[in-house]
Amino acid sequence: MKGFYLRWTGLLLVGIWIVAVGAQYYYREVRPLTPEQVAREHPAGSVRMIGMVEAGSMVKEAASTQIQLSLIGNGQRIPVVYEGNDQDSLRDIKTLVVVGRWDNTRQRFMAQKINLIPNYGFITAAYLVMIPMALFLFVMERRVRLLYNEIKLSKIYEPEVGGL
Amino acid sequence: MIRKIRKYEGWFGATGAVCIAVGLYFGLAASPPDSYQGEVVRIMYVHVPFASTSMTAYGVLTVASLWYLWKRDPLIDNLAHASAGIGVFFTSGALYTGSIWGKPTWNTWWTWDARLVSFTILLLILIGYLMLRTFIEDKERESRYAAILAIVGAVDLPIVHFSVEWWRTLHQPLSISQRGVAIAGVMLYPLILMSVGFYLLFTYMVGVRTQMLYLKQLLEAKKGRLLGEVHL
Repeated sequence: MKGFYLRWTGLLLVGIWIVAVGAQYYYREVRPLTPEQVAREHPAGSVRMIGMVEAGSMVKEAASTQIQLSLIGNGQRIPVVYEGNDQDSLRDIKTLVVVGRWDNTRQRFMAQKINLIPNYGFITAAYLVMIPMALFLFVMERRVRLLYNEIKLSKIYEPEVGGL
Repeated sequence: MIRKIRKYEGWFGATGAVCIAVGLYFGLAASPPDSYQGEVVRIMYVHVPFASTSMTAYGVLTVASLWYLWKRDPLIDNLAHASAGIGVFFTSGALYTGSIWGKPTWNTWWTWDARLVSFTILLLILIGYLMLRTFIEDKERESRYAAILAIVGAVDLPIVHFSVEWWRTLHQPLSISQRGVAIAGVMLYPLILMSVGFYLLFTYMVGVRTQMLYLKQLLEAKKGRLLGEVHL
């Protein structure tokens, strides 16, 4: 039984490591910030911001490839300048994720890309099914080992050897 | 036979775990989101293997039941019983993950779609099979009736598989068929890896459960509880 428990402890540690790496990846690559967080933290580097396009805030100049709009979320309004290809995805009162950088000097968000809203809650819920699967397997394996031990300890093989 | 299962089962489990680990990496991190479904497409890498493995589990149950009725080998009966138990788990997993995928994609957890209904019937048949095995006292009769039920219930397998072709369903048609493969390579590889991993894991689980059922019966028989009807 010692080897069995060691193996499962190893598997548990690998599982915990995968969850930790997954969480790290989510916070680094997937999780968007709210306009309120962007206004408070003034993040350096490329970030994702999720918010709703404020109604009537979109302004597009005919000669320019830029669109100016405001994203709102958590009671905060952030001016955004979007310069990208997917301009048809921008609509009033639509919630979306923009990828870009915070311009601290002009106090506005310079976006280059629009991303889909990540549904990682659903994905996590689906993959959680692996936990009962592992538990199911653990219980079965443990039962098999206990049965082998029980058979061994009770010496019930003996009558069979004797020609029952 | 049990010795052979014990000897080789570990390889199936270990290879399956490696395939699933690599498949998870590619499915969750390396593959891109779908242009229509977005990130939710990642649920497919666990839903499809669950669904295909549950169909395989029922296939194994059917073949083992036929084999049992022909040869009356109690170990094959244990194999059928084990496949049904594991099959319930995989079928429930497929319905659970499919339901979670349905909410952001179809905006509903459940719909009376031919694929969903036929798959739920498959789950009910498997549960019925396991229940039947607890109702009958006589071991030989229990195995025989259960095998007949499994063979009759196998009529649901082609219905599940072809439901998306025979009826107009909300569920998408077959992505891999004789018409070709309708999935981009970058999404196909994690799906294949996960599917292979699930098949290997299923083989391992069936091996473990078959041993469990066999040993339980052996212990009971040896302890004299089934003296009049030893079925080993």
